[in-house]
Amino acid sequence: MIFPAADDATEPRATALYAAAASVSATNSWTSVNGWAAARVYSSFEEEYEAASRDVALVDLGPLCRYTVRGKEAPSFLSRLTSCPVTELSAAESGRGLILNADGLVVDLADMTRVSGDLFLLTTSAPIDRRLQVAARGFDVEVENIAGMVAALGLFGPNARDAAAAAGVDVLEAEATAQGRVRGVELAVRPINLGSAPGIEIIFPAEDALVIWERLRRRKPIPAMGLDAADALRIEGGAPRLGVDFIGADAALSAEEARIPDEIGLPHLAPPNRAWFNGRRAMRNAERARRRLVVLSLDCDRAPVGAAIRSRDAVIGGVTSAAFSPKLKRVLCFAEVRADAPASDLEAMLTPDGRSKAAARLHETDESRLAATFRENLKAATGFRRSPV
Amino acid sequence: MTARSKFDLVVIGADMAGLAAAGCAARRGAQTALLRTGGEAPVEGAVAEPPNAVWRLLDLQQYDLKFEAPPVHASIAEKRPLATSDDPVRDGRALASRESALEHLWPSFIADMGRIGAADAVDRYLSANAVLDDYFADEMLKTHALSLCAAPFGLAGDEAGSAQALGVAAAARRVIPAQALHGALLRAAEAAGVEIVREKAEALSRSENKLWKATLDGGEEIRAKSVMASSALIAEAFGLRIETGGSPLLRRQGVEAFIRLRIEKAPKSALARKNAVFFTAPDRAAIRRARDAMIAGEIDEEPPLTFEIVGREIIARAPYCPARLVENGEEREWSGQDRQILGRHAASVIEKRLGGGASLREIEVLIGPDVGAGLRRRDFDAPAVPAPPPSKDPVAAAAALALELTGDE
Amino acid sequence: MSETMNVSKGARIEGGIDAVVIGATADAFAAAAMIARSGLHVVLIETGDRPREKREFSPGYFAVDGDPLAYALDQQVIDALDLYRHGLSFIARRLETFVRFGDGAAMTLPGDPALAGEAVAAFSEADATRFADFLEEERKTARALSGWFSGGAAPLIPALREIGAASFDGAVIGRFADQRLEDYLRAEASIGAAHRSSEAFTYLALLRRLAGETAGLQGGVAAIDGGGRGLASALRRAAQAAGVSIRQTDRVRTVIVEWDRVAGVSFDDGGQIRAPVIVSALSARETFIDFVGKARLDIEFARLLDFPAPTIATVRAHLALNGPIGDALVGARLDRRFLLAPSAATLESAWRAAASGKASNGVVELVFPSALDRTLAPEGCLTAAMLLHPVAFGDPADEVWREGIENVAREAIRRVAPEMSAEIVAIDLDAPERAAPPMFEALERRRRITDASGLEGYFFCGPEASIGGGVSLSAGRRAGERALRYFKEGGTNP
Repeated sequence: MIFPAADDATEPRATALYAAAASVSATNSWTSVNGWAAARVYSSFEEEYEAASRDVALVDLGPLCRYTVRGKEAPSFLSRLTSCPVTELSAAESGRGLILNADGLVVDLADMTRVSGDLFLLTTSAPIDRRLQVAARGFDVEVENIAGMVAALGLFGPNARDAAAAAGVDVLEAEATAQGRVRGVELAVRPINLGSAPGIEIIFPAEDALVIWERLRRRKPIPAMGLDAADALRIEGGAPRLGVDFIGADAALSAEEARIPDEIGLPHLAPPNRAWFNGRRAMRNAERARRRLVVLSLDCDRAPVGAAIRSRDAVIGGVTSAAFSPKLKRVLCFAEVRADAPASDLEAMLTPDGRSKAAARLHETDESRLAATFRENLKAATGFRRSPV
Repeated sequence: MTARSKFDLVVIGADMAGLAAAGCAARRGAQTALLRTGGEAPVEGAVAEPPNAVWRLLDLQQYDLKFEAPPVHASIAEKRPLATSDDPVRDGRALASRESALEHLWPSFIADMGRIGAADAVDRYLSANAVLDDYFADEMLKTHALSLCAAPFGLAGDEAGSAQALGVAAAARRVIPAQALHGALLRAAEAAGVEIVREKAEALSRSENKLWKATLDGGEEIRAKSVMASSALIAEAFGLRIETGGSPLLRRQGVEAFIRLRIEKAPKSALARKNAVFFTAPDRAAIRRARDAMIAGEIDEEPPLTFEIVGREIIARAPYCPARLVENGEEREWSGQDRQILGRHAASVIEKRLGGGASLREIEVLIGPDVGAGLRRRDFDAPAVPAPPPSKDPVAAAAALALELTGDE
Repeated sequence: MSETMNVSKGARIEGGIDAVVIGATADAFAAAAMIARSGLHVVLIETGDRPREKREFSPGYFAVDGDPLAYALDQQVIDALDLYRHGLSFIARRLETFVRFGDGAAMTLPGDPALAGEAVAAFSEADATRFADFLEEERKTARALSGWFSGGAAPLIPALREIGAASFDGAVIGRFADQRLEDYLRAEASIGAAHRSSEAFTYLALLRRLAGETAGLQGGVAAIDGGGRGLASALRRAAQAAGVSIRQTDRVRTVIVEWDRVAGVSFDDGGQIRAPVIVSALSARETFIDFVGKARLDIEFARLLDFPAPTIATVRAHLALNGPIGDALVGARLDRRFLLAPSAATLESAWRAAASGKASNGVVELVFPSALDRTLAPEGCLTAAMLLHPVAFGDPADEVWREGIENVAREAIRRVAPEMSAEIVAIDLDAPERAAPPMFEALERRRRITDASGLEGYFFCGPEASIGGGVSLSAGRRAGERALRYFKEGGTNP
């Protein structure tokens, strides 16, 4: 799950892990996400990126929105709400999908875990309480926003599982979600990804936040990672960010601002040939995508958001988010370009006058590979089970 | 006497909205006159900061206006007041102590209501109550929303289209004391060359050559190429037929009364010290009763009030008052005694709400403009006069209309 | 994804049918006949509220279901189905309206609104021209809106926003020297409406009333021979003539949805009728929530179907009168429409009473069916059918509610005919009908409900598809036309 855009809350609230996170923050650089305090950088962008891509890094996932959905009709409720065929998930399995409105426009991203028979954990980027309230009418379900009651801690990087195991909290079997009690603390662990970095998420009662944090860092002080480094990993993985790369349909002022799944590069998450979900019928009748979010690599060290992308002297789009990728020694960016734009001869205008520009190439990501396969063969693609992001 | 007798624009209604509209039009180069109708409400409390375009045109920075933090709006019928402010996210967190779901529901309600006037929103035809019931279970919160949004328009929440009043639920970010802003707008209008006519307007008509003709108190006539009203309420009370671009929020019945009370003995309650606007309505049924009493021509014994504490005085508004009282089936005007009765009712409601042995005495009761009387006098042969759509920020709405009208020229 | 059904032993699956129409309303029959006359094999399942035969509510006195009057009968349906040949006829094409005001004064308006000026002149000289001009002007506006009212797209009139949002009071108060003319118009605009005339969006109701066209006259009122039953039997004959097979035995359980298309209906006994086109004339809730299920409807669409519980209603009362009316003014001619137009203040207290669950005198529309059809009452006696509005929405089984309404009905007929000599020997109440939302809301809701379910081959002409009171058949025609177009464009074989 991806953090949404930072907001301008004047007094962001402390997440359950805030005290712990603040104690390891050298920069004291904070912002607000969904009204929760979130660190931008703890030590330095490079160190954090390095840890997450070569070893392991901790992320406070508290600012994401979390709901429990409970009840006999929870599977059919979630199958309607999201594009994920939740009825097909067995216990301990996780899936992901999109939330669309009735016009087939993307409202948000959603992760679901079937904790047990009729109990699901739903994670979204931004709050969707009102949509849940309306959607739940007439269904035998109980939806509760639990964001303030739990702590959520992400471990990302190739050694994430080892680090968890070393702390004794790896109760994961194979790829599934596990629930259990580890030395007195009730917790749920599930595999997730942050863009290109694989990892696990540990969810536990807010009052045990410090216990788990300390336990994980006892053997070796795992570095914490802030939003900036996470954003670089996100773009490498090809995951668009709500409020930055696209606007959620419920927040959009007009339908013109909102996007269909294909336009944000995630058509594989809402296949029109999947059993019914909200907005699918509209999607089928929707016009073809007019624009598309793509990941480009730019041959430069930094690139401003809004920079124009040109192809053969014609402007075909603009950069929506960008980050330097230490691995590629290039800037990776999301750009929204015309759907019919050529894929070659691209360049980014780094200054408005075009004096400084950089060559741009389409960059293949995990998501773009899935999207490409999907577009080629709509029926063969299945992208909902625990694929990246 | 006026210096000229022919203008490009005549603005009817010399309230703050009228001053801002006339000032902006004059700055745009239109020969502008401002006419009083006598229906202007008293200048009290604090109002939203004028929009930037108005500020720039009138150079309001010259007048040394002081900004204030917007007041908190608090319903105080229950032991613990229910308060909202200009920050829905913070309010949502505070409301979560009543019901945890409100934390996110309230901000999304405010955001949704901001869009409720949009052409594709089905909700805009609904009653405010229907929309509130759809979002919330908390009766006090729903009552609060009505006191905050529907009461200024004299609506009780069950009227068709009253949902659109909820579109103004979010408070302004900054406010300016009304007296100060009124003074500044008056000087700015004068500086812009607006002819502020002393005499009251008597009538308005349109001649064959399409010129508008306003007849003044003294019999003098002035002519204008175009005319606008400073507010829908003033224009209708004056007897004009208006066009507001399809806003459903027009008041058709009853009047608002303004009540000044002196604090004889201050309440112990800590409430009294805050920068706040208080609402007294205990539930939606009480609001509906008051509205029904208003239509029936009666004074409600427990009128829902909106009040502020200013030093040793309390300035209260009673939004649901009858325009004329009905006794034994006969209509009559408000008498001094009726005003006293209303004042006493208001004092006792506020004393009860403030608690702590507060003691108040009524000083003055003013009755606002009566639309009903104006509706009977309308001239249906004359074209409708443009008026700004009713809004929580009447200054901005009137100025926008004036700029639109003068922009065409 | 296909519907899993336990087809019990012996339950039939029927095929070879092109369209199924569910419902027993006039619109259902109109839709079925419109489709069948193009050569499609149509089955109409007569379910839901069936129009009853005329019933004896007191010995010798009969009541007829449905509206005895027609304001806006869709001419296209009449022509297309040749309803006159199938027995539709009017007793009166241009019914006069006798208006009784709150103060007891009376005014008679001719059947043709274009002639209203003269009638008003006799009542209020000063207003005659003004009233006639106003009516003419508003009929013109209404004509421009009539396509919209009957199911078409909103017209591109710049003033629509202003007109649409206007309250009746805002648009009318102050127009006439004699306020009773306002009272008359207010009464016309208020019948069936859920909101007081001072509220926004209420003016459109008057335009809706003026837009209706029956028997070639815009804004007129006609009386159908046999009332609602007369129209129903003409439609039934037309449907049968067009080849519709009518079934009365089945109760639909679900509408079968395969992928995004409807594929037929299933019944309680497990039987099915397979058909690529389904038209429902039942309520929107039954049509979508009961037959399809929330889990297969868009969240935003399902939300449209959540109506707040009704508080205001209109109720029809049938009265048995044991003698001639007696009142000279009223009795002069009983084959008219009578309207009680109370003063604004009286109507206002009726609103307050209705909102708080009590009964009080409001607007009354009255006809004497037995004056049009002698068989409905014993020799020398009369039946009266009146619409009372506004009243509290209540349960007819509730004694207190009934009694309140009956008292209002008793008083109402004495107000219309103060010199009445006949006695009321019995009163019979129909179930209350919930008052209609503001026209603009109803129109917008209709557009969404008929367009936005997303289920292919499923067409809707239920009560929410008709705007304004009275039978019109437009919803049935529109649904039939859309269904035909869908079928012809290959709905069967994509």
